[in-house]
Amino acid sequence: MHRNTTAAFDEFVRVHGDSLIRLAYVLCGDRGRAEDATQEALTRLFLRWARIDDPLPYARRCVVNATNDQGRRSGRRERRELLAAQRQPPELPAFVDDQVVDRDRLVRALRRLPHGQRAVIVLRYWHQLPEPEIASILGNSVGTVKSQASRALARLRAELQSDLIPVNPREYR
Amino acid sequence: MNETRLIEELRAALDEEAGAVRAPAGAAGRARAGARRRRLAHGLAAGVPAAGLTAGLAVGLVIALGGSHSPAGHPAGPAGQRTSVTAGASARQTPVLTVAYVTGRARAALDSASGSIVMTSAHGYVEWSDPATAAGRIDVLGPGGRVAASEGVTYSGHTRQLIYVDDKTRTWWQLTSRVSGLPVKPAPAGVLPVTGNSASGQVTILGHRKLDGKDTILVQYGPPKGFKPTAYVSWPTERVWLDATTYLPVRIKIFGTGTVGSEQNLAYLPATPPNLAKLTVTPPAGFKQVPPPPFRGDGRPGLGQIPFSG
Repeated sequence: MHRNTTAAFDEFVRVHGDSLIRLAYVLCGDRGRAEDATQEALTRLFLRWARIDDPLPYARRCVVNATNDQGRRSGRRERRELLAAQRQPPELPAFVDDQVVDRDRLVRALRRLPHGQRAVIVLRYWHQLPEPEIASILGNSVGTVKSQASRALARLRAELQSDLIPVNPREYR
Repeated sequence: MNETRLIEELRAALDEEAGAVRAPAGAAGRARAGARRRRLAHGLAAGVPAAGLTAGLAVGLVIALGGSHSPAGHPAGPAGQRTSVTAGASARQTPVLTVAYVTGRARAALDSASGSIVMTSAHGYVEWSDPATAAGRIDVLGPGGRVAASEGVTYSGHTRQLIYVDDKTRTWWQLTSRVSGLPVKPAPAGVLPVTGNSASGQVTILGHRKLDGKDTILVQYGPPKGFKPTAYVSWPTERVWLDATTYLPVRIKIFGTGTVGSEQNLAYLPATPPNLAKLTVTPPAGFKQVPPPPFRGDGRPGLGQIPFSG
């Protein structure tokens, strides 16, 4: 292994490691799983490190895929936990303003989106990436990215406007 | 909630949700070690012809080495270091966005911009200030973004001149007064007060953000760890977007409790004659001069009468 390659990779992780784990965290909603997904993504990245020109989009793609793989593996158990969590009212301290409550609801609504839509929303509006780059990361067309973003925003808005969180038991069986 | 607001709220919510999440120490080393193990396992497996034996060997090797998902991150031995990956990425030199680095660069940028004219625009007003001379001008905006009133202040030695133009009543007044001591020069807007996490608050580098097409670095100043808001004491969170090239603040947004965040956009203009002219308030022709309003207790005219909108 060339020392400079190692140093460049280490520097990449130092600079972008936090951003990648945050991406994983907002996609999977669990700190431990976010760490596992990021570790897996970095391992995949290092395997291809010398062959890719721009490592950041590739690393993001690895993170998105790793969180998606985790979601598939955890399957029903995760959905049951999610359903249980949705039935519980959020635990809030005594002094919390409406803005905090709305943001909490927004994050929970985001987590109920399908993984693809969630990834589009996070990459488009949080990482502020252009649609072609998101399409490249997710392996979709630009049109798919646009439609997923539009559907996801509509769903978020609808969920925020309703006081009750809609739960379809069939969806979580 | 319209789409823009929803997106803004979403961004803020995700910043709050994930802003404190950090990559665990040693992540790069563990990734390198994991990659070496995987490469070694795949390489050996490819060399063995019998498929069953291949799988057995590969699994055995992974187990012997601690497994590719081992959380411990053992450093690979000398054999693991002899891999076929060549150098080529060494040219990637990206600055490490630590709190000390970013705030240090921002401070240096603000110091070097002390000769600039600072333009601050926000909801309801636009302000120009010259930190070198303490001169300044503020335009109060009315409906439709039109200027409703302007106030300009200049200093000459210990003399201060204040000019106020009211576009609504088409009047203006001026006041020349002597100030005790030297005028207090305004600090360039967007001074970053803390260089690290302390009792004064927590500084978090939230990373790169695109702002109006420009690359910026988002810095957040939040309450110190363990701070509990009460009915009387709150600690607003301040976010500062720094130009990723110059490290000068381009936007400041303060999120209070239960209020829509106040936002200021900043621009640092060179002290050229046209920009210096923006500091001067000249009463338009046809406006009537009137006496200045009654003084307040601190000796300044009653600026509370300025029709601030918003």
